[in-house]
Amino acid sequence: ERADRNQPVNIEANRVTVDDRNKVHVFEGDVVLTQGTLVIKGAKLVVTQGADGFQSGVATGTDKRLATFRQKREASSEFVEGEAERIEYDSRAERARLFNQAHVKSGADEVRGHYIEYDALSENYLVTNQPGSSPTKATGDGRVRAVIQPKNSTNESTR
Amino acid sequence: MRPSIQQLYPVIALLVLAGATVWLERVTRGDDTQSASQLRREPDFTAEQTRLISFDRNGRQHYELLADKITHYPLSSITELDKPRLRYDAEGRELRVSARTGEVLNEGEEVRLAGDVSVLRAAAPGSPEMTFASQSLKVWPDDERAETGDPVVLTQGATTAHANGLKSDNIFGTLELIGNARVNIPRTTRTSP
Repeated sequence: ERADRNQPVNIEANRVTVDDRNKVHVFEGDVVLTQGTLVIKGAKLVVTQGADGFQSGVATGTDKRLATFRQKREASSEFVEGEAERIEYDSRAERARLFNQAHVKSGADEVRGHYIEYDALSENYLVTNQPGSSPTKATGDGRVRAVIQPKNSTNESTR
Repeated sequence: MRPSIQQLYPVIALLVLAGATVWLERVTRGDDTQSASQLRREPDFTAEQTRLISFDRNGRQHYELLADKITHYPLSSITELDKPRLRYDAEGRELRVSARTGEVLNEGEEVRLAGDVSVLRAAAPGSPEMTFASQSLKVWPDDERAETGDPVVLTQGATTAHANGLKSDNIFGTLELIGNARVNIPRTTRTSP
């Protein structure tokens, strides 16, 4: 949700390597990043810090466990949940990019594909399959799968 | 002609003197062998309220070490420091290190600090002030390496980090927090100047 942006970022891991010269923090081992309602988990997380603190993070999972991403939606009790082999979260643009075996679920809506981009501000997500990419295991034939539940009379609209 | 007592006098004086030195030499040498075993724990010198300044090759001040007391043990060649406070100039950035006690081993190759160890590295353009706090720290000054197995609290600007241990290597400027690392990065408002 929107309030997340001004929350401090807490990151836990088994090990952190801080590279002072190029401002990179590498977190390894059961990494959990939380910022307000945003939670990103992975085996490894590389965080680069901008001038005003947390800038962007790249979380990667292991072959057994994908990196996961979860955030509460604005003014709703529903959560957006996503998982992929690699999740890049840019806090400035409030956007999460999920690569390989990407799968995002928001309430009853569900999207799968090779690459999913979720914009936390507008709560839209863009799903693509890069041309020539190998079909994702989940969808089998490399096509995008999206299940968007019809909204009944409630005024909530999801494009 | 019998030498008169006056002529003999200088000879006697010399003999007495020679005898005394031989006696003295034997006694002092005796002292050394006798007390070698005592030296094992006895310091051979102590200094109090000391201020030690070291210069690098081209004469610039390298570091300044203050200590309430310095005790040197010859046999183990360990130098113990009470309340060491080090001010070290690393590439123009001042580094301050202090602890309750310190031990300098084999001629400064390794320094072990213990008790409220705190390190402060001054801010520099583009990189904020950094502080380190723990109960112990081993430092290898020559190859600019440091390590501790004790819980660590580290701050870098407004970011704070906790961990069970730390390894730091200044040549590459890397710092490794080991074990249960927790980092908090507050969000300064974007409109900060």
